[in-house]
Amino acid sequence: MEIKRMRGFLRSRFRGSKLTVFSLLAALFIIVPLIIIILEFFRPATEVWDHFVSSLLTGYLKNSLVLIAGAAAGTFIMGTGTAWMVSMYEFPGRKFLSWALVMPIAIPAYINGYTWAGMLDYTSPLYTFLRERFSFDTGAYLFIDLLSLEGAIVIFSLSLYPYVYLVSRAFFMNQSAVMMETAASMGRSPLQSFFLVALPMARPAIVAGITLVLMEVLNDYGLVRYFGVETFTTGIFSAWFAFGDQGTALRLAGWLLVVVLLIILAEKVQRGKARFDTLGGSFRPLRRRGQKRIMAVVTSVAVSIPFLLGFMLPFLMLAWWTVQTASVVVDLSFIRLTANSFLLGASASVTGMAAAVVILFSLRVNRSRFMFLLSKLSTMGYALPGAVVAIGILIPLLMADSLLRPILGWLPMDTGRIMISSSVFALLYAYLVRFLAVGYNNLEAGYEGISMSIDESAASMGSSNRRTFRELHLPLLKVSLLGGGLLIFVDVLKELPLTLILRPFNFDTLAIRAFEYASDERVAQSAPAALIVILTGMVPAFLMNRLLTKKIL
Amino acid sequence: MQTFLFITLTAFMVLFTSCTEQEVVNVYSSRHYDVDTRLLDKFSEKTGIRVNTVKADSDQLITRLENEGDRSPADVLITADGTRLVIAKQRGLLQRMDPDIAGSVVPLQWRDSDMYWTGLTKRVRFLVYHPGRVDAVDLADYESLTSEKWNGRLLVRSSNSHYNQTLLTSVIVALGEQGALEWAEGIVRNMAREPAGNDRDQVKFIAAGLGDVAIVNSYYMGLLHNSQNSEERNVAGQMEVFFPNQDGRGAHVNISGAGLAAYAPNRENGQRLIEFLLSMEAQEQIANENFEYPVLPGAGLPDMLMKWGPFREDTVSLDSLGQYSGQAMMTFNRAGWR
Repeated sequence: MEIKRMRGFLRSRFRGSKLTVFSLLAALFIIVPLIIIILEFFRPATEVWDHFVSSLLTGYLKNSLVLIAGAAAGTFIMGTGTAWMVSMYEFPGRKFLSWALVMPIAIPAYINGYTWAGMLDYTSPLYTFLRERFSFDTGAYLFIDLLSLEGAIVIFSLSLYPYVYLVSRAFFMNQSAVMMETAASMGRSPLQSFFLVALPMARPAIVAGITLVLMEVLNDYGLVRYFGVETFTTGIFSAWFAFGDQGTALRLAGWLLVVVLLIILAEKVQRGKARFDTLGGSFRPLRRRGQKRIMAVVTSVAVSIPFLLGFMLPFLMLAWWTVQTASVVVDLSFIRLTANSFLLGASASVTGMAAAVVILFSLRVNRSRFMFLLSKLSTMGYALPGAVVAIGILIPLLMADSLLRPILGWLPMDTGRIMISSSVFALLYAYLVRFLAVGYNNLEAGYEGISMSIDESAASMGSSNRRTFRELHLPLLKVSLLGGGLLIFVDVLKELPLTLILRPFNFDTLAIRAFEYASDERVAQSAPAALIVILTGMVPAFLMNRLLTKKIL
Repeated sequence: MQTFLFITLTAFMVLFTSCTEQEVVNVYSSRHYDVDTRLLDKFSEKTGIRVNTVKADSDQLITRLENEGDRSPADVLITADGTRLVIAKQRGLLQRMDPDIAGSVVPLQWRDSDMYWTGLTKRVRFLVYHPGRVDAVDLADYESLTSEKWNGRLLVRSSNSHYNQTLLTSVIVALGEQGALEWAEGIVRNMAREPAGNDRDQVKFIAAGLGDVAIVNSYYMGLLHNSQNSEERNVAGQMEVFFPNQDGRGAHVNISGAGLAAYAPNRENGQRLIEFLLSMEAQEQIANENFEYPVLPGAGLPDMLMKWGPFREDTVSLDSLGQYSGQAMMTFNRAGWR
């Protein structure tokens, strides 16, 4: 009796059986690393952990907090400031800058960091030129010492401000002109209406953008390592590898997770019930203000600065270095490197989008709270820094390897040395955990455009789930599938900490090679690999722009 | 979708599994110098054995070897720091090689007494100074760098550097734990700036006037003197080098070396590779192109190393240094050496 009732309950829970089981499995797989990290808190701490607590942890915390505070301020000023100028004023080059300002998003922060470090090195062409031509005493550095906490803040701000720029610009451009004109009619200057009207209204969107920036900062390993700033990620590497203590590494990952969750929570609280769509009805595009000649020129110079420093200069420098070193660096192994990166990116985007489809489609078929919770949990990976995902995945896979061992030994083939934990599979699994949310969000937006009534009428006409998906959903979702896949592809191409830890034997990627050359102070040789990563990253940056402008026209 | 997935997976299999039955040797290496690539190519050319290399930080390679256990594909572990080889041996990741490979040619000081690993090259952690600002008579040993005289004038890289870690273990052996902590604190007090960059950067910082004396690995000076960048050569030309502790235990010498992985699937090929790296030809090539000191007695030195002349080496065995490596890290952290 009991069992029967139980079964009935389960059946009602898991309608659309096969599909639900699939998405359940997918979601569970993705949550595993989280569970591993949380479990570690219930185990006794090691001596190494005590050492970390007594002499390192406060430093990590302080550095991480200063970094995110600085990056938040920097990206806010650059992102919101440029977005406001581009949306409200007319000045020479405005049209070009309005999309060019997004471009720094194509350069990973760590590449931007070591390129700038190379440009401002004591023996760099610029410094040598200044000393020789003008007998100018450059000292070790001009203005600021780049290889420092402050330097890292500057580079993070320059590479990540587009996240804030994109959301602010979308918001300012979608703002009803009426609102701003009302402010003007009440005698407010443009500056006043910026601070009193536009900023408060845009706050939820801007904070959401800044939250993305902070996630990227906490995820970073390459830049902080290169600049000698000790944070949670460098701590995880140090505990795990230098001290050889997995437990401490996991514990650090757990604390980092706490920081990340606090940030997400803060963002949710500040957003409250605010929504990002435009006010209905009275929408009409803003008319941009003209300016006096000199002011217009000043504006275009000021607005160009983030683009020039965040993209143009490092890009040109890398291009120049590529010209110098390509003949030495680009050989057969380089082509293989590129093939590795691209294949990895393609496979990750296919698996990522497939998982997103399964989860979202079963959420449509089975709209239970449980499914909803599961789907939300499975997109948490994007908030997990790469080093955290890597350690959370390696441990269960090593366990799986030792369990599988007797089975593999039985097989007739020479499979004795095969391990899941050091295969491409482990890497793809990790990418899935970390980047599923990217594809998921894209696809979810696509699904929002397909009315549920389509599904219902299809079902009433006897169409199977599979058929509904293939013949009705798929054609409508093509764009979001491609878009999400492209974003995952680019993210994988740029990814560093996770790939460094989990890459299989004899397997390097463009990002790894670039980082290796750079950490070996051979920045010029790193340029060809870096340039391919950047050029690929420019594709979605262009598309994002088109999407944004299309919405407005 | 399914076909797409299938095609991608198949493409992977084809691309990433080596179908050929060619002789191979799999190398885990933390050395990242151009000369290594040239040497390994030469080895392949001579023997027909293909070399697969995985380059990574040696701590990561050791963790990897541990995780892989007896299923590791690695045949040879090459590190740029002797202590890491001692650690690898302690953790059971290496195996004894045939003694006639290195035993007969490498002096006992620079190899494991049980032949689990052997040094390939030596590097001295010496002092580089600006002769215009420093009088060589003021320099004596590592210990005297903590004196007040050097306040704000000292440059040295971060404690993440294995070279610094192994240097500190030698100080622990010489001065004891407490003495080493005080030494590290004294160095931190005298630093011209927070540690950043690598050894070459420390020398550039001197040129830029940030400090006057730097603790640097010898071969980096050779690389600077022979850099493609004329400004780097210019920087190196302004400097002098100093071998410390010549009146006492001798200057700290570290090795870069190799060991045979415990579960090497291509054991013979691994041994042949190590043998090749210890040949007179390879030893002289590393010395000439990377300015490391060969471990092979009688190997010729490039002019630069000849000019620096002979010096007294700290003779403490790497084995005894290896056991202090964990302590060295903690001492650095306690002293606030970033």
